[in-house]
Amino acid sequence: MSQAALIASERQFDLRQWLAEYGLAVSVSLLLHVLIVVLVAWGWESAPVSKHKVTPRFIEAKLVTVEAKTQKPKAAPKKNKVIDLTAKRREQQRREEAARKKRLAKEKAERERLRKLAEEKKRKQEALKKKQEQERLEKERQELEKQRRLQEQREQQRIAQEAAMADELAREEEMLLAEQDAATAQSYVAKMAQLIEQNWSRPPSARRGMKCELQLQLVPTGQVVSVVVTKSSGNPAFDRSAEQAVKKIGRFELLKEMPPSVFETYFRQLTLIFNPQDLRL
Amino acid sequence: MGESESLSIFSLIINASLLVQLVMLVLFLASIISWVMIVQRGRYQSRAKSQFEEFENTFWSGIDLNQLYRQGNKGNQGVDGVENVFRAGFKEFSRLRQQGASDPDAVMEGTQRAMRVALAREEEKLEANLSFLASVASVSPYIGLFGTVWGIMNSFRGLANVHQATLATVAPGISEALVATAMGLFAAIPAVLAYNRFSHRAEVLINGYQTFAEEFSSILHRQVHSRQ
Repeated sequence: MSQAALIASERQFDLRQWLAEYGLAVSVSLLLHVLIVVLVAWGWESAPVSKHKVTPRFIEAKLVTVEAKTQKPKAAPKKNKVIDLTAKRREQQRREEAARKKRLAKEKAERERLRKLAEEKKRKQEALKKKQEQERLEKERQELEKQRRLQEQREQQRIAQEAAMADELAREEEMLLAEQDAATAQSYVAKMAQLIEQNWSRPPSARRGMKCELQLQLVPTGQVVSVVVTKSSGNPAFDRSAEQAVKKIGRFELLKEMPPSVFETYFRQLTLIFNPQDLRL
Repeated sequence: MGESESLSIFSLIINASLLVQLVMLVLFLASIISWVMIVQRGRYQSRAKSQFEEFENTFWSGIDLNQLYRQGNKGNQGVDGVENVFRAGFKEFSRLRQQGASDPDAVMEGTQRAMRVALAREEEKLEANLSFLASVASVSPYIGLFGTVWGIMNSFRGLANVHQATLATVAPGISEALVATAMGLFAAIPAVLAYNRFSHRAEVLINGYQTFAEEFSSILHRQVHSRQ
């Protein structure tokens, strides 16, 4: 009983002590955190400078789109040239008129005749002008037509070239396909050779350098339809053993997975060469 | 430079979404509280260690045990650590002797039990708050990561409506979100270190107390059996 009371009092006392202890700890911890926050805030100040550098890049990107519009101003210089020509003509006219006036001042008697002459001249000039303009227009038309013809020719050439290119591409593709087919065929042949080698029991009379050629007829299921010895090795036992090896297998299961085009070109009629050192097509 | 333009850490925190702000607040509080624990534990354990050494010195200096007990009685306040074990054991021992318990084994048993209780209490005191540090250490990185993931999710969702997505449009959001992870790590790292250190120190001290209790009980044992 007394001990329990003692513990309770100790605990109460502990609470006060505990508070005193924690007060220091709390203040230390808060001070530390305030210090860290201040340090972080100070260290952060230098960061935003880089952000300003980023913005000009957008403007650079916009400049690219402006370049596409530069084709338009090409039409303007032509107009300018026309205006220049007419201005020059006007100046000439003015000069001529001034000369005529001077002449009029000098020869007042012949003024009227001269005027008539001048008028005629004017008319002639105008007629000339008209002619020139017509000629110019015609020339332009002709040039345009020429350009059109040239363009047409070019287009035709281009079409022809493209056709030739397409042909060549097709040929190349065919070649590639053929190569691929040959490669796949080779891989299948290698597998078949392995199979046959496993099933081939060579007779004891087999010698190195003996060669025997068999022709197989196959169907797409891999079934061997017929085996014929086309070239004998001179040793009937050897020939028979080779024939037996193929017949023992009877059906090449792996040929089922083969694409039919490859089968038709390479495997419908297959010639196998048996050679005791190693088995080969 | 305007406050709003510069990406100061405060503007980052203020501009963050509510959930991220809550996460940051939780982490900041966790960091403060864990530092309170760290300081308090450090002080308490170092004091306990010095008291333990001091008490052991006086105990093995050949002082009379009664006198030692009375010394503790005088300054009843602030009796802590291994002295509590000694006092519990000695009190029980002297009481049992005064009540005239004839069986020495019963006396020893009672004393040892009293000391075991005192040891358990001391152990509890030494390891108080360590569980909080451990949980802050293990959980706060996850909380920070959660805040970051949430913030990045939001910033990318905002990006979905923008035609020209540049780094400049995502960067502030991500930076904002990463503050949460930084805070989580900031809270977790000291907590991990402190937890490891304090738990090791507590273990060492408790081992010391236990060996002391054993030694003390062996002394009492000798006394009981020699007087018989």
